[in-house]
This record gives sequence, C-alpha cells and structure tokens, in this order.
Amino acid sequence: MSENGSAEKIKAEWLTRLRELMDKVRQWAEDSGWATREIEFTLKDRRIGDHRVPALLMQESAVKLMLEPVGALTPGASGMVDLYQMPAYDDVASFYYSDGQWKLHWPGHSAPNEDGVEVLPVTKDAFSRVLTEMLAHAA
Amino acid sequence: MPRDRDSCIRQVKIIEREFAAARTAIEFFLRNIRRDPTLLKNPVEVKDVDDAEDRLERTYLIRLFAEFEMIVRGYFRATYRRRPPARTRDLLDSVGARRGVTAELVGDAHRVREYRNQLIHEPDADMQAISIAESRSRLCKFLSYLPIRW
Repeated sequence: MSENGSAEKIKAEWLTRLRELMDKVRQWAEDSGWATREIEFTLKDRRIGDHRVPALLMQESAVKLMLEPVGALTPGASGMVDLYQMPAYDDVASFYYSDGQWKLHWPGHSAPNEDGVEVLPVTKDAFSRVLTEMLAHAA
Repeated sequence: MPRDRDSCIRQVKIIEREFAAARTAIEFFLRNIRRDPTLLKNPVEVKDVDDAEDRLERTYLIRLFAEFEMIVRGYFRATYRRRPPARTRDLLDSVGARRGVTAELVGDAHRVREYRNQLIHEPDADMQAISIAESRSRLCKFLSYLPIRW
C-alpha cells in the first residue's frame, strides 16, 4: 500500500472511531440532562494530513465541557481525545483508543495507576461519574 | 482574514501542549546524555541541555502570551478599524471594557502580562511564578469574551 493510501486508511479509521465516541458521549451527556452542541474544526496533522474533525460542547448550569480530538497517532494508542473544562481549557480527562476500544484516563481519582491516572472503560457509568464530579466541583 | 474565537483559543492551548511535548522530549534526552554524554555533538554540553530544561517553561510562557496578545491586537484592529493601543496594558483594559470582561479576569490577564514582562526584563528577580497551565487558563477565559467571529 502506498504511503498516501496508508495515511488515508488511518484517517478513515480514526474518523470512524471518533464518530462512535462522539455519538456515545453526546447521548450519555443528554441522558444526564446536559445540553450538547457539535462543532467542527480542522485538526492539523503532518502525518496523515490536515482534516476536519467533530468536537462536542456540553453544558449544564455554569459548567461547560468540550470533547476535542487531539490526534490519530499517539504513542501507545490509535487516537486521543481530550475532555476540557471551558472556557479556560483546563484538562479534565483523556480518551485513548487502544486494544480495540476507547479508554478513559481520569487523573486524580480512586484506583490510579503509577502515573496517578485512573484508567476506566468508556461506559455510561464512568462518563456520568466525570460529569457528576465536574458539577460537584463547580458547586 | 476573518478569525473565529474558538480557533484562537485552541491555538493558545496548542502552545501549552507543545510545551508538554518539549518537556517530555528534553527530560528523555537528559536521562540519556547523563548516562552517555558522547551522544552530544559539539558545541552542546550537558549543562546547555540542563539550562534549556530549566528555562523551558518560561520560554513557552513568553510564546503563550505573545500568541494571546497577537489575537487581542488582531481583534482590536479588525473590529475598531484603527491601530490598537501600543501598550499591552492599555490594550487589555480597552478590550476588557468594550467586551465586558470581568475586572477579576482582566486583573488575572494583567498578572500574566506582568510575569511575562519580568521574565523578559528581569529574569533573575524574585517573583511569584505563574505556571503555564495557570497562565493558559487565565488568558483563555479572557479570550472567551471576544465575539464568535471577527
């Protein structure tokens, strides 16, 4: 396969994974009573080429979060998406795609790994915990 | 060229991410050259890499503030069709007043500006450091008061 063909394949797989994550998170956020809005922006990537990606804004009361793709090629993972508190862009958590699934890396919580980060499967319960904590933190 | 606020704010965050990448790389490199200094090519010495590591955050903080200032100046020029105030302090006060930025957030941005000034003009003076993460947080909050597009 040519280099361009390979880049196109990586990009297509990345966009498919992103779509799956965005749709799940959007549904979970709405189920928890958060307002959501999807936007799009250009992700600069010199390895697979600049491309448009979705990002998800979520808001409940005064708490505003953004789920934002970081890149398709990251060490040890085939994709990374960050969750930020807006508008300050403070880091909340990260999603990594590895071993065929998305995983949630959440710093500063129970059962952390050696980096002080709790690694959770991406489930509605896990994501709801993040949302609940963000609201509690803001209160 | 029209600008949009979210892209501008994202650009500030990207600089913080680049700092994290550079710090990771330099720490990795330092571990290796301390073990094997022959990895270094003249004229770079281990001490030079140590110094680079020590000054990395302040270097990126100066760049972070420069990006922020460029965004605010560009906004002023495009929106008010005249030259922005020459002094950055006046620029932030002017845009802050016109966009209804809270006094607290304008003050926060000024403290980052003052810290940046100290780093440039009096790098050895005692000063209350502001981390790059805290600086990014303060400056992004200020930028969030700009219109969606200009």
